[in-house]
Amino acid sequence: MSLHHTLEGYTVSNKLVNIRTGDKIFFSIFTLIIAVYTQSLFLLLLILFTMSCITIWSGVRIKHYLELMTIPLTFLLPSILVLAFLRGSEPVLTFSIIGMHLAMMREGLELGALLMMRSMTGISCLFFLIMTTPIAEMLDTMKKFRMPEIVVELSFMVYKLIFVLIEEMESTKKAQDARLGYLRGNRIKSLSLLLSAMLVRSLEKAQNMERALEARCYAGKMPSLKLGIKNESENKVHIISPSLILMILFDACLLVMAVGGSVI
Amino acid sequence: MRAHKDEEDIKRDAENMVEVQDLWFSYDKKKWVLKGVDMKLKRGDKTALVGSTGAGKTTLLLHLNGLLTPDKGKINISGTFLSYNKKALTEVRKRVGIVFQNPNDQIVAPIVFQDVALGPVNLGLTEGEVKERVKRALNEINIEDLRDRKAHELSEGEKKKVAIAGVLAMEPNILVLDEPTSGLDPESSEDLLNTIDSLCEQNDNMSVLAATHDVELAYEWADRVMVMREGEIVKSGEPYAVLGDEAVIKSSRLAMPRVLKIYKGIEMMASENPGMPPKSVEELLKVMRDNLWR
Amino acid sequence: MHIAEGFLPLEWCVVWYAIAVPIVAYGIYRAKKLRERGQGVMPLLAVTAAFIFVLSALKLPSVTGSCSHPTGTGLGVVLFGPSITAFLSIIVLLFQALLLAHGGITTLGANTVSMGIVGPVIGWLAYIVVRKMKAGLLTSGFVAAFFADLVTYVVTAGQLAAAFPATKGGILLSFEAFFGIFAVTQVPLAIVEGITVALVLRLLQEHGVAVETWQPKGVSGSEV
Repeated sequence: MSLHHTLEGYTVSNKLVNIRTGDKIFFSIFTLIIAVYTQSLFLLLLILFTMSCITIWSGVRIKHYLELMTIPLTFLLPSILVLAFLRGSEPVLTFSIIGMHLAMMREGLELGALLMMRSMTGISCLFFLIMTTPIAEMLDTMKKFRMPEIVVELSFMVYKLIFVLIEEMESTKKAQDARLGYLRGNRIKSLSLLLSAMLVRSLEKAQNMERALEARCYAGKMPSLKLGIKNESENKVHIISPSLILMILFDACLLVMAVGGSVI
Repeated sequence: MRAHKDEEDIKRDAENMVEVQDLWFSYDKKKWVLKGVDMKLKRGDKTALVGSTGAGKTTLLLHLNGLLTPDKGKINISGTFLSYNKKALTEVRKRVGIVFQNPNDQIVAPIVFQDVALGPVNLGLTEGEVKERVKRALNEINIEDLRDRKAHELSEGEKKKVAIAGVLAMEPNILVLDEPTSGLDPESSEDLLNTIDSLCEQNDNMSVLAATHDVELAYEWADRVMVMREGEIVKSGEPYAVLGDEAVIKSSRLAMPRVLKIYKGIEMMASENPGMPPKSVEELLKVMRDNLWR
Repeated sequence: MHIAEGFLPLEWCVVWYAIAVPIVAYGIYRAKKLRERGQGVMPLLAVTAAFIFVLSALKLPSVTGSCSHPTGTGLGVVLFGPSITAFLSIIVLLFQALLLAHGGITTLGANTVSMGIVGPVIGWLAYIVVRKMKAGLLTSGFVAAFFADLVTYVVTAGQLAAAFPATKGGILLSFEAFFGIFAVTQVPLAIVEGITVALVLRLLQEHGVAVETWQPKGVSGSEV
């Protein structure tokens, strides 16, 4: 599965993988909240630029990064289009289709632009977290923050199973294609056969996985990647590391600018 | 086995013993999968559990460290009967390590050392102890070089070894393997069996139980063989005696090991007792030289 | 369609989180109870959640090229009831945000309310009603999935309208507009999803997975 390999691949060989997971989660979510709070396009641009640069620098191909950035457009474009007609009272562009008079408003377009920027910025914060931090590490941090055991364990199993399901689906689909299963009229039936075959097999897989985890006394703890560092002296945990100070400073500046009103 | 045993040995024998008494189990409360299984494992033995697909091998193995709860019957591990509370189960899972058939179900972490560390970390060991155990486990099966590799990039044989290392890091004295060589090419499966053998040599306390439908493997590798059919153990003992029993083999939908089959033929043709039954092709050739081409 | 990261103003993010969290917490509690009762619950929970993930990341043949997709929660609600489905949904939505950039962290609360709570609850009520009328599993499964899917989109449109009411015409006009653009693809999609989930349920039953009630009696099956 391509998704599996790209995401896991990035996190494993990422330059920022050794920064504490808790710090990264805190940083990306706090920045995200500032982005949602602020009305300033300048701040949004600043965050978008900084986050994207850090993520790409840490070891993500630019082309792939930009491709992923376009994912939310299928939601954003129609929604923003609707807003352009709904908000404000100063028409910019009027036309009529099938007897309906429609007017695009200045305020709506401005709001649309802001939302677009904000979404993109939010996604850059999210990408920073995803592409520098393995999911297993995030779940381990959840465990440290006293999330109930069942949440961490289930999330972990779901994460593993998603890829099992996708793999199962791809192989079953190939088998069905070979038997012309997706010809017109057969589609819904083929699809549900595909889904249920996949489901039953994944259920067996999930049972095996649960047993294998149980056999090793799994209680929601995932070994940290830091165990892999051979040099003992590098392994000391600093409560305040240079990277954390940098992240806090950046967020503090953003906060001051956001609360201090429109800087520019 | 030595005739004379000192006290220490007797104690250790008890510690490493597995005894299953009259075990009954059903998944759906309609059809029995296990129908009164009795079996015993001795310290230091390599035992093969042989049976065709659907005989109940995996189900039996899953009982040995409490992953399944029997409907009836008892399991005695190292002198204590298995109980099903969390604390007792953790204890038994430290003693009995199960390696599952498909290593992809078992390997969960992205990096090899992370996965091997899973057991120790969840047992609550300190970081130093965890590292030590990971090192030892990887060393025991000779895969230190895989330590920092990504799990999904490994070959099937390597994955299997990593799965075993993950179990060894729990430091069990009873190692249970489900179809250890399935999905491996001949060379990797031989390599794996050698690894397991050298593991047994390093640690004479370790008992190994392997479930398989491969009679050739069972015959060549095991010290003792048990044949399972439709939820029952129908015969157990020396590999030669069990796998050479035509009636048992046939009714269990198995085949006699080829070396043994040829030996039986020689036995019929030869005028006198052809000597000890051969374990391998080389030994078989010797029997042929001694009896037929003289 | 989930609301994208950063799309909702901060105050609305907080409101939807405040509604979602207690219900999800109750779902976690129920899941814990269910797990204590028997083996095989965790795998079924995990597979259902993974199934919801895959289904909602899937573009159905009839509506390729649109941003609509099935929700998959109809299956969860038939198997486990609404509160556990809310719990499963928040996990699914979190992974969709983290792995596919679909939805987001700030909008997680809002998306959980629409896809994980209101949609499934309505689907579940509809399921119970038709079940009481002695409808078969196929029909009831269809009804549950159809309503769970459709209501999810109604709620999403409502959430967008509440956050961005029209200057002239207010929330109502805004709702009509938002629902309008998504309804074009969503109604046929809900029908397709209904049929799919119903067939999946029946095939699951044929494979021996207990689907009669929303509390699984344990998973029976052949030797693994």
